[in-house]
Amino acid sequence: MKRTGKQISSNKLWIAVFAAMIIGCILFIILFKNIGGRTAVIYQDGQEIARIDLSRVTESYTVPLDGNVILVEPGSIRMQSADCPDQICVHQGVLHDAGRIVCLPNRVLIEMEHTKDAPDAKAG
Amino acid sequence: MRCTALKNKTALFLCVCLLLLSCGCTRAERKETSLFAMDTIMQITAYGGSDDALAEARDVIEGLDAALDATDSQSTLSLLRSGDAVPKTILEPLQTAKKIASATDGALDVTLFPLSDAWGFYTKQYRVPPQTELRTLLQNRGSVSVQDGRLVLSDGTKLDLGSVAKGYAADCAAKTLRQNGVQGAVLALGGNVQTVGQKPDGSDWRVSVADPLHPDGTVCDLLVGETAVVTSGSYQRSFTENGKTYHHILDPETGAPAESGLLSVTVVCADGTTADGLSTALFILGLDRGSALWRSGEIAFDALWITDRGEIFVTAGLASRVEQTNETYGKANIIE
Amino acid sequence: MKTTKRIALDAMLAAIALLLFIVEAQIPPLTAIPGVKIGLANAVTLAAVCLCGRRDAAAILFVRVCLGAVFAGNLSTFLYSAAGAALCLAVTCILCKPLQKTVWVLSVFGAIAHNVGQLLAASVLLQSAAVFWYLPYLLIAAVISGAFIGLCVQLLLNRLPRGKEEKR
Repeated sequence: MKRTGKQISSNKLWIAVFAAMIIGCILFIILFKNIGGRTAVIYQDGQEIARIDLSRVTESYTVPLDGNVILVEPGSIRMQSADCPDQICVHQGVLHDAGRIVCLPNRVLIEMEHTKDAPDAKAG
Repeated sequence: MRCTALKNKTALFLCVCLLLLSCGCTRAERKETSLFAMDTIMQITAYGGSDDALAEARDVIEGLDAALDATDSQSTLSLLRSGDAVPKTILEPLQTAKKIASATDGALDVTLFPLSDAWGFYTKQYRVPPQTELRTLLQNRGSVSVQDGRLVLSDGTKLDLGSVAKGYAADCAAKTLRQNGVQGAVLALGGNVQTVGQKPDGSDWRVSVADPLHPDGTVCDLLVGETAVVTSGSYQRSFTENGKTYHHILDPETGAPAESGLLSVTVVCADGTTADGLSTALFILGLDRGSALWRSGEIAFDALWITDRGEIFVTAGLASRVEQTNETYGKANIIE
Repeated sequence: MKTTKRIALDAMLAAIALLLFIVEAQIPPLTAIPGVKIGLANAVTLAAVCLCGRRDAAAILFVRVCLGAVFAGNLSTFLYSAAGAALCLAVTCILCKPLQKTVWVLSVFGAIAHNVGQLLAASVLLQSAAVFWYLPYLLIAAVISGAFIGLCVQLLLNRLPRGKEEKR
């Protein structure tokens, strides 16, 4: 197994390419992270089921879906339960101002609508 | 087909690096909890830190709630008699309150419990006490001090640290979170906001200020680092009798709700206890005396006043960090 | 390679792949992002492409995906798994000649293809392009896990006797 200079440089080249790719992805995530609002939209099978302004929710309630139960609380939304084996959507926790929860087995998507920066807390 | 490879050592080294990398890749996890304490709802959001961080912060707040509750006759605060050694959890907020009192000509007063009680702000059975009753209660107001670590309380005086308790709880809970390795956290203790460390993306914390006319809405956002942001406003607790609205911030001069021409004051200050007490004191002082205190530099803070004419005033140190979000209020005036 | 020997080798690789797949399904998710995992079973696919050729690798993969869904999954996980595996295999087979000297690079491309395949399946099933917001996260995960798996396979192949590489 003879090592040639050319082979080492091709390894280095690929490392550079993938490093650049990771940096690009991180930049993308940072740049688009703050796009998020306070309106959650629930989809099942690609159909919009509900559109909820979380900042106007005063009392918790649940949205039962086929296979999933979504819990809507003042300012937040989360998957309360799911009948799928992996429970990833339940473990994803609470959505406040950005991000999305996906339940792949039941084809449920909870997505925050994109608006301007949301505050972290409110004084008063 | 032959797969020529790197030298084995190099490959092993790379494998180890990648394993480490994949561990380092898990970002600070967002955790949150909420609790009811000090007569309000509190929410804590933390990034990173140990698993027990939030539970310990909760314990700290609940412990202080039980210790500092003036309405509970069995709390540490209520059981404290003149001559007793003052525990740290009471000494620290008391000293801060005394410091603010001396800087504000007594606008913050820790001996107003009988007055607030007479107005019904503790029992929520509101009433407007007659002038003579208020005068008697004000005259009977005693004094509180600490000498050689022991409490000196004049007869019939009841200590009430409600004006600084939430701020002190925020300070203590923030300390606990830091000790548990939390990298960033925001505590919203019923409108008393305390930030800890940094947001995971490194940006400023965004704390909105409630609209005193429509408390569900906001007036502006404040972009801040690690600090406390506390708002005191007449809208927070009030009742209406015979068409007149009475709020809970009592002026120690008159024993009646402060009429200083303000709707709310928001204080930004590194120390949560100071921010809490100062927001109450500044509300009582009004804009002119409050801004004079800021200029004097006796206490380091920044503030945002909202007057009953819908004007916003903000100290120069904070002006660049205000983003107004409500068009019904005019452009903020800067106090220099 | 003799037919019996070939069948035995393929069956053994399929069994190893299935085992790795099931073992990995028991590990709790590393991150809150669905779809991010090490992809241990892909190590076998990669080794199979290098050792036994493309057709055998495809057969091994097919067996693994079908049995994997039976043992540790359901219909929808099967669909995601199949879409990811198919695209991963296609890319690995296309690139295995030009990248035969750098298996880890081949593995990274395979991992990227696997994740893209899963996202494609998800976007079709959910009828939403929103899942592609996950792409940057999954790309980072693919580079890291792909390189890791690739280097493992590279080490493995270095240690195997040359005899395995004889022409069929």
